[in-house]
Amino acid sequence: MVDAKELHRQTIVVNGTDACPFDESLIKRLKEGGVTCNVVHGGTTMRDMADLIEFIHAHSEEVMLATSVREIREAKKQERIAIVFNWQHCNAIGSDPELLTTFQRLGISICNLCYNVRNLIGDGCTERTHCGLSLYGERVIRKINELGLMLDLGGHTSESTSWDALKVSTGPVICSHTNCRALRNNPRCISDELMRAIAARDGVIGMTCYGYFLTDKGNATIDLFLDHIDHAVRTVGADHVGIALDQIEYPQPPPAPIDGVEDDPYVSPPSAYPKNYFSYTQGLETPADVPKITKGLLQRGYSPSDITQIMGENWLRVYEQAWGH
Amino acid sequence: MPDDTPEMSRRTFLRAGAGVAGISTLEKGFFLGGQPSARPEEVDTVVVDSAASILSPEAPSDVLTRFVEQMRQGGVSCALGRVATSEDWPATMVRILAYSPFLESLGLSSAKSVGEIQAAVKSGKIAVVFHCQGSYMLGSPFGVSRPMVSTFDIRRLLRVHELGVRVMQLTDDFKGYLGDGCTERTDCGLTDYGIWALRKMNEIGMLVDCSHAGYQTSMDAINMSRQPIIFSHSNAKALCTNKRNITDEQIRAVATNGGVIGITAAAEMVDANAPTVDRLLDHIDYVVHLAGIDHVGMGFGYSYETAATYTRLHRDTSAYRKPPWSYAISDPTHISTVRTGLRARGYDEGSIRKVLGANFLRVFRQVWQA
Repeated sequence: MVDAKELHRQTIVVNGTDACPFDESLIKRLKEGGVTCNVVHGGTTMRDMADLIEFIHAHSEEVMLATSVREIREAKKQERIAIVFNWQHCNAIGSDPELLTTFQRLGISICNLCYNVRNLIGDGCTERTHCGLSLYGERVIRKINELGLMLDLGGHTSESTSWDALKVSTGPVICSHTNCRALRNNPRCISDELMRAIAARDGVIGMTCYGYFLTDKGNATIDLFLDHIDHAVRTVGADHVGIALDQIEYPQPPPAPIDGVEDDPYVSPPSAYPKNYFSYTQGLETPADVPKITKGLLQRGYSPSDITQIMGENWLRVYEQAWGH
Repeated sequence: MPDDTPEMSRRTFLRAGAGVAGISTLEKGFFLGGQPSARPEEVDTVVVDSAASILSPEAPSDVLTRFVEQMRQGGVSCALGRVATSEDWPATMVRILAYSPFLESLGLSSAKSVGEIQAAVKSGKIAVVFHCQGSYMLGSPFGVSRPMVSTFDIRRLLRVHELGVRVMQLTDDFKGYLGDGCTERTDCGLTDYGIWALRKMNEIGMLVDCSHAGYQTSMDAINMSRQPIIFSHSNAKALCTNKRNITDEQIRAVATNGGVIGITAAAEMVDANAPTVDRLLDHIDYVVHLAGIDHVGMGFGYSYETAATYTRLHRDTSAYRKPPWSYAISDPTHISTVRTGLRARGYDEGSIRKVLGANFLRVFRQVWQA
């Protein structure tokens, strides 16, 4: 009988997308949860970048910025946490793909194209229209490929944008944080067809534990989260599924509305995010709970090698393909 | 249009381009030196150019000085000046704040209302209305309720309006946050955010301009707008199949909506082979037939384009010729050829006044409420 704790301890655990505030409390929980590599929002302005880099610098005994798989493996050996910067949209480059080169030097390694709504690149998944990639979007993807950035559909793009992106990209493609549309009909969830297309390119699909992507009531259990992993594995195989919990760590009230202006229903529309939407799987509220996933997968009969793939190695394989190191 | 046979010799003359300068000398007294011409039917003619894109600080000062003098000679009373296109928010702010001094340096005055346009005309000055030829500065709709960095501020639309912008294009040529442009590979229509912005523009009295927008975006906007909208510089696609031109359906929709289509002189939008004044008049005729005399204006579209801007803006080569750009009417000195041409085609003076400016003034007044 394989010991779940021991297996988890040996595994390089990669959380493919995290949305928690990047602070000391997060480091503590990541350590507690045995997470080796945590993908966080990179800065979109110099000020944000400075905050992140200063923080990493000030906590260099515990965390390090990683832009290569070699560094992530090194972090595991040193018992540090590798931080990877992603973008959940490319709005920061405006209409200038060449800025990607500079942001890559600042540490951005993974690029989502758009976030729920249309931007210059294409439609997001909750937009009223469901159109595909723009001419500019094609240029952005070519630049992402050229620079060796990881192209991420995120789960935030519309299906048409995703299909177009798969056609244009010459490199691997991931869908970092989504859930299975076959189990939960939410615009943020991915169809089986798109999962298969991503897997056919050796890509990876990451599963979140966000309540409303798992169930219409938002009151998800770990069992339900594991059902989504099961479905994804049945659809594309254990080599193409990862975890990307997208936790926000603690419920926050939405910011106060701007004087005299109605709330913006555009970015987080009720079709995908019901009111009061900070709802995470019971028992998987913070990164400290990640070992429960390894345990749950073992209980469902996954082999240790499949678990190692799902908990991190799949991400590392596809990152290495994209980044080249 | 009535039979234009008696005017045939003049039209042939015009087509050859030889008569242009001669005719314009007849009009030269108009507004020169701040003194309106004595010709009574022209004193109350306000000539509006709904697309003076060249009035932009990028253009070299000698080009600008010459253009302003040409506008004066051509009798232009009011122009929409391109204060911004696809710049981001900080750059747009800088441009808007610098625009009034820029206009003053050229002897032009800025106008935020029809009252101000009329006051400028009375004092012999050309009134320039702040025109954004794009909406990128409004930012992405994102981030207000999500814990991520946002480029969005819902108040931006109010700010640009406060600072004097009165006409705004929904898109440039490409995909934007509000909708898709006309040379984009997709034709998706307005976004949710675009619908919000449109309503807000209606509410605050920002005139919506659908030039450069894709077909679906413009149709969505026309169908949803509670105010008249304009195409500041677009011609009839039926006569010239340029991506920037608009279909019969779009033209009819503008008529139903109460708006105005500004006919442009940009050569590639007039005719791919023979962009003559006569062909420009054909566009006016065509739109008048389809939409009615109350829905046609002039947006000449003079622009300052260089090889560098052409490349930087990723111009669609099928829609835009490589610079230098040319125009069916070589410069604004000769825009009175539109007046003479329309007369020759049997338009009465009242109709000509509408096309040259009164239609735009009507829509300005209706939307701006001032």
